Amino acid sequence: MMARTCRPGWGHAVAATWPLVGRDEELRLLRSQLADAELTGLVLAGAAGTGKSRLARELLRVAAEAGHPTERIVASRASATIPFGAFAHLLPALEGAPTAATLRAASGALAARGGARRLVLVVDDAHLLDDASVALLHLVMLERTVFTLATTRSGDDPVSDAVVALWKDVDAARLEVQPLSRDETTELAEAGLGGALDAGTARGLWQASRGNPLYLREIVMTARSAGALRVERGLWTIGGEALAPPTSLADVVELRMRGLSAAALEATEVLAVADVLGLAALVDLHGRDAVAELERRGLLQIDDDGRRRPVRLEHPLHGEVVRQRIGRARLTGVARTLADQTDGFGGRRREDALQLAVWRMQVGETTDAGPLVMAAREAYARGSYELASRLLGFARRIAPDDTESALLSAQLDHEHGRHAEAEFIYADVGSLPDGAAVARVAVQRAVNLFFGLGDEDGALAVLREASEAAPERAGELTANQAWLRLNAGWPGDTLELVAGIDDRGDPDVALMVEVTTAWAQTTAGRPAAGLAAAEHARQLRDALAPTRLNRFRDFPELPRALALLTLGDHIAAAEAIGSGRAAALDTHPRFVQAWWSFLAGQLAVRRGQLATAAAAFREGAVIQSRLRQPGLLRRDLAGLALTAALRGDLATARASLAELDATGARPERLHAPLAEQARAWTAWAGGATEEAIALLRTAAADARMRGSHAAESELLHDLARLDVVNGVADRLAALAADGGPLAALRAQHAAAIRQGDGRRLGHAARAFADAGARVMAADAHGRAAVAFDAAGDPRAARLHRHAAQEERDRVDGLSTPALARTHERVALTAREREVVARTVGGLTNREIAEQLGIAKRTVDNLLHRAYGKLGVSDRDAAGRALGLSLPHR
Amino acid sequence: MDETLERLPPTYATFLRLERAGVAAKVIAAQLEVEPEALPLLAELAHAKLAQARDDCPRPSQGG
Repeated sequence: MMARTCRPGWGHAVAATWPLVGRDEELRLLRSQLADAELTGLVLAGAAGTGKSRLARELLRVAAEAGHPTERIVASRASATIPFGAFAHLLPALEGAPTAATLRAASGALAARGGARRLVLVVDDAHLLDDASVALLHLVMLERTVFTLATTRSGDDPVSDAVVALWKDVDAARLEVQPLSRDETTELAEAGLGGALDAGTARGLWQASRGNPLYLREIVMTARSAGALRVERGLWTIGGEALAPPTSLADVVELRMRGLSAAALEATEVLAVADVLGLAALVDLHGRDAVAELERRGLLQIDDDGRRRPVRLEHPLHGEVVRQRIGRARLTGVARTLADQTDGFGGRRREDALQLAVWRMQVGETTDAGPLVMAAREAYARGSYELASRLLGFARRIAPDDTESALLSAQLDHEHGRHAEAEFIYADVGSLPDGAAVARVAVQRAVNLFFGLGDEDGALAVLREASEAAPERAGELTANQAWLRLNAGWPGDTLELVAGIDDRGDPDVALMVEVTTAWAQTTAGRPAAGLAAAEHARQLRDALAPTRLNRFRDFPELPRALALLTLGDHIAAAEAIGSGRAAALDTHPRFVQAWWSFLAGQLAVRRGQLATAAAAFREGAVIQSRLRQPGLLRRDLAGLALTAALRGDLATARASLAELDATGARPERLHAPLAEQARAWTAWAGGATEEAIALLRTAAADARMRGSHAAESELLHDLARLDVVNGVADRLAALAADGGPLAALRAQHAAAIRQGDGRRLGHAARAFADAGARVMAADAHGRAAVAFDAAGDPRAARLHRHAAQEERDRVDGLSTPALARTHERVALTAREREVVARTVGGLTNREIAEQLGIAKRTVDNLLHRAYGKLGVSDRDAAGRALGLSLPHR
Repeated sequence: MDETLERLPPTYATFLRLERAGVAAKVIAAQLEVEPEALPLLAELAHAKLAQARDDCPRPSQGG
């Protein structure tokens, strides 16, 4: 695969020429075919847009570089009526109708264009050649005087016998050029756009193009021109709109369908409206012959799904183009036909009910909101939120006072960032029939108040009132209260609340309790218990009916991944996060996708993959911005700030923190420790070590008070890395009892720092490296080097210094206190180090003087002395000497 | 192996699965809707792409 060279945030213009992506193996194969003197040529076949001509042109370039004479002809319908029409520019004028002599002369003329090496001839669209031209090619290939690379389309009008003979009779190989893989499609789009895509957009482009490079390019260009595809936080992203088929592709698709019988064309229209239909139903509507014709032309995809055998058009774009072509009246007629047929068949499956409701809605022939609301619930359960919204809109026009549709609308409003609109609906709900309904409304409303509108008190009040009105639902309501308490950053309170819930017979309540417990246990510094609860939650989730609406059914994988990450099992965490993130892109609400992006970022930071981490946090921030959930946006901004600080990118770190602060006071404090950690490391990167220490102390104390011992462990470890070990090492040892292997490692590391024991620091470094915690490993090796220096063991010091550099090289632009020390060959005083760090961080001498409350002259003198000790003359060199990353300019 | 196959273009992944399952070439060609004459090169490419995918790192932005 070609090396990826995209960087996020490159220019916003779409490249005029897109690179060739995903064809390395094809090119290697073509080169070997060309080098084989026994071979006469190659036929490149494939669907329109797969890149046959592009590949052929690339081989032509390779052939020319290898010293072959090269030529290219393009067949067309116009030249197809003229003997040798496509060869006109390569052959002398030939008099009269083609004869054997004419053919011989033409063959000689073509061969003469070669010389010491064979002519390499590309023939584009060989299926459009006239018969004389095909005969000419046949002859030169038989004689091996020309190496021919012919491109031809698969699946269109039947290819003439003459063209078929090219590869059957003359030792020409046939290569079917395939669409790109999902990764290659993303790589191509990113190359064309000059920047990285967010995961959702990458998925959308893959689904729309199915790896067809021509389709992809046209979709991207159209979406870009329409403003639907734009850059947010350095990532190319689709702004919620569906990817419409570009008009330029309509011609390509129409060409595919040229020559179809009337019945087959009608069948394509039915499939375009239905999207998918059972084979029997399609045959019933249009006859076996029409379906067979479409299958022969490669326009259908028939799956083997047991009895029903679902059929769809071969490419999703075909359906889009046909729908746009047929017009409203025909679309309505088709929808009516499909609805009548489904009714006639009985339509008992859930997807039938959904389809039926959609078609009746399209026809406008429904007066009963009930089926529409049921269909909306089905669509919602399947993750088709736009369809669910449309169905609900229709239902509410029919029955404006229907509570069920109102509640589902409010839920969709919340999940799409329309929090005030959702609260308006909730506040207006009239009397409810039973306790279950009371609880349901209260829970939905409380979630919207807390996460959407930032009103914790209002949310808890709603839940309390509902408990009084429906005491039989106390279990469910308390579980939700616990969930909010967890998100407010009180895991201890959370566990107390769930412990008091008796009613676990309700499967929804049981699932919520286990998910909340799993999360709270891990947050409270007991990740093994968290993992066990998450596994139990999975079992409960799997036992739920597939379409039972439970907002926690998407959740069990998240606390499981979090527990694995907290334990320090990075391999299992990576697997869980990778699969969870991929699954979330398909069907889960966007806020779940954002959670996975956040966890991916956390894992990447741990592993020292700082660019990956930044990309993941940016994705999460884009989603949370769209969902207008500032509380959760703060989490992603904190991640961005921390990542930037670790890379020494002060500008980005400070900008992210400023944006975080601008969101204002929020009740979500589950990730407040991360924000404080980011603040501390940003301060350190700017040379304000004492401020960093103060921030970490306060944050660690707050985390301890709240019972967030997992965060407390991380914050205390950060303090140890800044040489604050009194009281810290012992507390870390206490937290390690239930904290898991990574917490134990942190405690060992802190104890080794306290003792200044190079050997123990080396053990810690290797243990961190084995666990994949590269940032910690780099830091620990650096500190071990300093300890061995102080102990007078230069050999050991050198080994660890080298190991620290190796770890650092794996982590782009990493800055840590120990790494800074590692590079010191002479001892700087604390004040000298502080001043140098600030100057490397980008401050002027005057600014440093103001910050430290000393005279500018003193700063000048301190820098002069430090530079002298380090043997450097400017701040860039000082930064390199101390292993400090310079701010990105 | 399956995870690597998922990263290949779908036709090649399907070919490799069918080949691994011992399905006859004629049947594979029909299943993939390619001319039988195209199968040798398709097979060669499939194996080459599999070998390349094993050497490549997963895309960093997709949770790896």
